[in-house]
Amino acid sequence: MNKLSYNQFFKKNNLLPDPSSERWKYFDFKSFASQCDKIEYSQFKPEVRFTDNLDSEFDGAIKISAKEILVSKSLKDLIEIEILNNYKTKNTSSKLDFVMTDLNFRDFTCRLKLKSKKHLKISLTYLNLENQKSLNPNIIFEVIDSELTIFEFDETVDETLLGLHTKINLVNSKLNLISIYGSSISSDSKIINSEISLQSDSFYNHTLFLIKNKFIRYQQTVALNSDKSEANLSAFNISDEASFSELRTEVLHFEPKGLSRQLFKTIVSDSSKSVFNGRVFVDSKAQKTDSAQLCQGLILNPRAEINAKPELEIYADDVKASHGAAIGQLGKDQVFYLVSRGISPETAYQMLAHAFAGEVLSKVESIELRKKCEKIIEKSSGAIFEKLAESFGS
Amino acid sequence: MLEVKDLKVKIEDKDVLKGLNIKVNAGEVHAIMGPNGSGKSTFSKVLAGHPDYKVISGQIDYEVNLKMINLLDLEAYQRALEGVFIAYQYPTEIPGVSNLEFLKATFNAVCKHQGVEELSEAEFEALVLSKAKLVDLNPSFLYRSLNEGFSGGEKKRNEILQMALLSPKLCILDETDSGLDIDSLRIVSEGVNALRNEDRAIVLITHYQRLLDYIQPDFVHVFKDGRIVKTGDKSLALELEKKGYDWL
Repeated sequence: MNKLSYNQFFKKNNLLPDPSSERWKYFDFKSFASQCDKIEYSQFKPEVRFTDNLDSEFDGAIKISAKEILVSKSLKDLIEIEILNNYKTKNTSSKLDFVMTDLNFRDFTCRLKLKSKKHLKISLTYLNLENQKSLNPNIIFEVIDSELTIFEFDETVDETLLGLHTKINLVNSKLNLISIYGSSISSDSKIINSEISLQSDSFYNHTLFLIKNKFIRYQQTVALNSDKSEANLSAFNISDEASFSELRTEVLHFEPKGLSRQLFKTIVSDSSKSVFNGRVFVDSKAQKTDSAQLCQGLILNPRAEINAKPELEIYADDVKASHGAAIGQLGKDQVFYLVSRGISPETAYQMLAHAFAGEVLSKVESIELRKKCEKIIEKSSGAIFEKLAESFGS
Repeated sequence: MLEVKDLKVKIEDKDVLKGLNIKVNAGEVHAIMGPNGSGKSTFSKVLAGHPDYKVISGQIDYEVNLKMINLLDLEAYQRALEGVFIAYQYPTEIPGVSNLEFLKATFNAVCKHQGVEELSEAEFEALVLSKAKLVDLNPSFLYRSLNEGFSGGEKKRNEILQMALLSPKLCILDETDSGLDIDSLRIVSEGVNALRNEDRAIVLITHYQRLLDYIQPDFVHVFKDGRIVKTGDKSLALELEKKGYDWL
């Protein structure tokens, strides 16, 4: 751990997260503490290499590890990349506390500037090196006058801690971001912070899949900094065993006529815990804001737990804003109906879970990418439904 | 095809079936009538293998590949694969699962079990559309979530559509006539009649004689207090319509 982090995290007590505060109320400190010994910082600056050898079904691919950043040659004329060492993140909003992720942002900063007249589809992958216990990049995307689809996939493996900070500035641009964290091969722990700024009529559509992570805290802040900006955030989480997954969203409406939609669906099994905390802030200037937020959860086991806390903080008087949370169980009658038609219990559970996730999957605009996400969910969560099927009827 | 012997069933410590005996042969249509709470629907749920119903004693012999097996030894989904079909009184709504997707999953499960090659998507859709005509179900219902927002009549038509698609050997129709208007009752009944054949047995559970005007039964049984108290032909249903159940 470098000195800067140490000083910030441990010496300034006021920056330490307070477990009794609402903001950290449901965070699993005990599990996180057990991960802290993994934090180590890369000693070298990653090298940027443009290559033809990236296998990609997209217009281009970017693969990020502590050693190198590989970029498809096809993107060479469209992208500018700059690497900085020991970059200190600067919080854009004093209302947010990034202390937990600040701890991890010291590897390097990769600044990518993208401009393309054509709609680009790019894959973005995170990899850890052999014997590397943590990967802590800071990624800054500047997207100007462009339309972009990014398929973000975490390929860190083994007992790695992924501490990721991304900052995306959209200027007169449209971004479809599809993020998948966790799968059967995925790493142990993830602390992810994402800051999005929408400027000049920008549009942001994020579909997030958290699949069987052992420990994850995903925090996303979206600031609508120009009028008529639009942000759609959809997320699906499925977890089992004694895992912990937390999603925090903050949607900040600073300008008039902004539109935001949030949908979070979570399925918890065994003794897993899932947390959703979604805050919508509407500034006094942000009249005619239209905002909606919904959290839906399914509990598959009496030992599993979901904590949902939707929040609205509104200072304008002409806005539409709604929020809601509904937690329930998979309908036994629904399972039986399918089973009594010759469908095995395992497939029945899978169909019902798929139906539950379907609303989130439908937010992925590209049909090919939607199918890809479906396959990953199906493959990774199969074991959960096998276990459930065994208990059906008992 | 089906022989139930001294079947005793409990649900939540309450005895519902108290020694039921019934024999159903292929090609026959049996009607089961009886007052509320007499165990008619329980019988259908037990045949389907609902986990909430506990069989205390007795057995259900069922013919599979010319051999009699105890149906109670099979899991619920295995019973369906062996040709047991229950058309439910209240078909369950499943939001998010499209009707067509569900029909394909259940049809493919049966194909796989029978060692028959699955149909292509186009072939399957054509087959479903042809079967939907049998019950006059608007094809738009195939693309909606399973039973979600369907009217009572549409749900029942969708049940008979599944029956037509899966070609089961033993069909139990649990109060299929309840909630149907006169036209729907006729259409659903015509659909059932079209599926009558010498290899298939049909058991109709009903409260009303009027269903039996459309679907002529070979036998009528009266359930009372968890067992059959009287068996007769169609004239028994007419008698019950006039006299009620008190005289039995």
